Amino acid sequence: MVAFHMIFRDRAKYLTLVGGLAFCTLLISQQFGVFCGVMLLTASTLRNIGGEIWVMDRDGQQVNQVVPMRSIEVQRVRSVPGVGWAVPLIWTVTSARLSNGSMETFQLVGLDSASLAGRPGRMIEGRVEDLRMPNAVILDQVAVERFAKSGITAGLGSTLEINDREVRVVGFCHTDRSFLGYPYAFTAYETALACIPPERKTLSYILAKASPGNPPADVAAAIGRLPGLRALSSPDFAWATMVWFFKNTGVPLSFAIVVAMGLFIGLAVTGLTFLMFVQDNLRHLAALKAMGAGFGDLSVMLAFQALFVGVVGYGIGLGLTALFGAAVLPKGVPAFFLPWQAPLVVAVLVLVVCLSAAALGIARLARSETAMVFK
Amino acid sequence: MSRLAIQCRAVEKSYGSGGERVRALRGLDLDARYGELLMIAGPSGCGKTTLLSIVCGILQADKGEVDLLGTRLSTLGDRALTAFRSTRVGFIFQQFNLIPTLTARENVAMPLVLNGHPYSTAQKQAAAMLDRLGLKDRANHFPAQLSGGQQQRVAISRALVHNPQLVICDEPTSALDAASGLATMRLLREAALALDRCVVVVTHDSRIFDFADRIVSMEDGEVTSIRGQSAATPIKP
Repeated sequence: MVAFHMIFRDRAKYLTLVGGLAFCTLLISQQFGVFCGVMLLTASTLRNIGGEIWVMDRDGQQVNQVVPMRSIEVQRVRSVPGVGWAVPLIWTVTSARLSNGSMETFQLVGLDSASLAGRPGRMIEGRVEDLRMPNAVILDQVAVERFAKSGITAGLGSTLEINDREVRVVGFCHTDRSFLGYPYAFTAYETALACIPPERKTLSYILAKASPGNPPADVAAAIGRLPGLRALSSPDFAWATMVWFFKNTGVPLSFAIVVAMGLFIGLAVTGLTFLMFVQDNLRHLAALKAMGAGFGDLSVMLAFQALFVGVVGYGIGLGLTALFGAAVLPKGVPAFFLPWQAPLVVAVLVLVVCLSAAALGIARLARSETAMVFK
Repeated sequence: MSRLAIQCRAVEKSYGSGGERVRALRGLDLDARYGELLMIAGPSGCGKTTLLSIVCGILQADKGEVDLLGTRLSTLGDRALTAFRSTRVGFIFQQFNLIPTLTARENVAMPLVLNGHPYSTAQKQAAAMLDRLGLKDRANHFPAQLSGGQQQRVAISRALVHNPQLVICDEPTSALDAASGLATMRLLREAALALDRCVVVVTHDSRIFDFADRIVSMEDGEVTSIRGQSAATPIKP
């Protein structure tokens, strides 16, 4: 109680300590959340299309980097024991001319017209089955937003040109925003083929499903044994995509720098303020020592005070992070995802900051002489 | 002749080393009795503070022995010394050293809390002690809201609340005006002095010498004179 009153009633230092730790927590956890959100974005195409097993060229490494295959590969995959079905999929980035003449970049997804495997899961308007109509596309909410920015009110029946081929909007769907930031345009495989420039190899992926009783991982491994192909279950492909971005881009480094800055600021503000708090109270602490408080008792008191401001600062920082998340999640920009491990990691970092501050204070106390109370 | 509360024999203490070595105490002998208010006077740097620190076990003597309240301090380890101080010694410091973020009552309760008393019990006893010293209506005030004299009364309350056998006072009037200083000393004598307690006051304020049973004068780490008669409980008017 005494320890609590000593720190809590020293309002200036209490607020500085709590503010510093809250800022440190907010900065680290918010950046953590944005980083995890961005990493999740890298694999959003997998979530938007779905599919149990993704088959790709053996050089394929992540979902946003297509290595085209021959169409015949679909037949080879279907021939693998344990494969229930396998359908072709086109995923490519292409430009489209809108009705007002402006250009917009799309992620064009060509689905097998018979099964419509990989269809958008959350329709806002229209029917997925209408994709079987000639030159039909379903656009996502991002496209609607982009259209609006161009002054176009998109509706069923609206048209746009992809490589001089006119396509008609037959529906709108909701998708997870992608790392590339472009809207999705779902269409039939044949329509997609007609829209993209002619190439020898046009197949982007093969979506496959294991037949009942066969674990997808085993079937993916069996497909992967085919020469020139690689197959991964959807979660494995998502993980491989995130790992690829982690290793091959500067995204983790830039986030790590901000987190390190947050940690440094937290450590500096908290450490120095707590040291000032101990310095200001050194005579009083020495008086307590003279009156019979052991060094251990005072050390525990300082550690409690540091941890107390740590818990309050952490709580406020995490609360602000939650508010930030609540504010940005509906918009989807910036990406934000805070896994349950993140608050734990931040808690450990804040604990390190607080214990370091306490250690500084305890070291200062250890260097002081009790006899100073008589000087 | 009453029993000895403090017995120092041939106490020596030095600071520094080599050519910068300063001998703060040079084979000092000192006795203080229960029921006695002993003043230690002398100019700055004469060794008063060092003596005070050694007497209450905060500093260790280089040579010599200190028997305090029947215990030879050199036989106690750090923990035992700390426990000894917390239960048997009360302190009044020159600058009061009241914790500014604690109320008067909470400050007074500190020795009891350090002795393991439950917080609520300590608060009640502290309030009673403040009441006894005429600070009932100031119990919930912070030190900054009190006058110098009131702060010193809080400090006296804190020194006495756990009923120690030795009260150490370091320049108790130096931060006070003349009237407050005299009032504080009067209160200290009335409240602190008892048959089973010894009060040691270090001071260079000659205006308060009348409150002492004996006055020990020091110079250059040695006792130069002892004035006054030892008495069991000579409460002066």
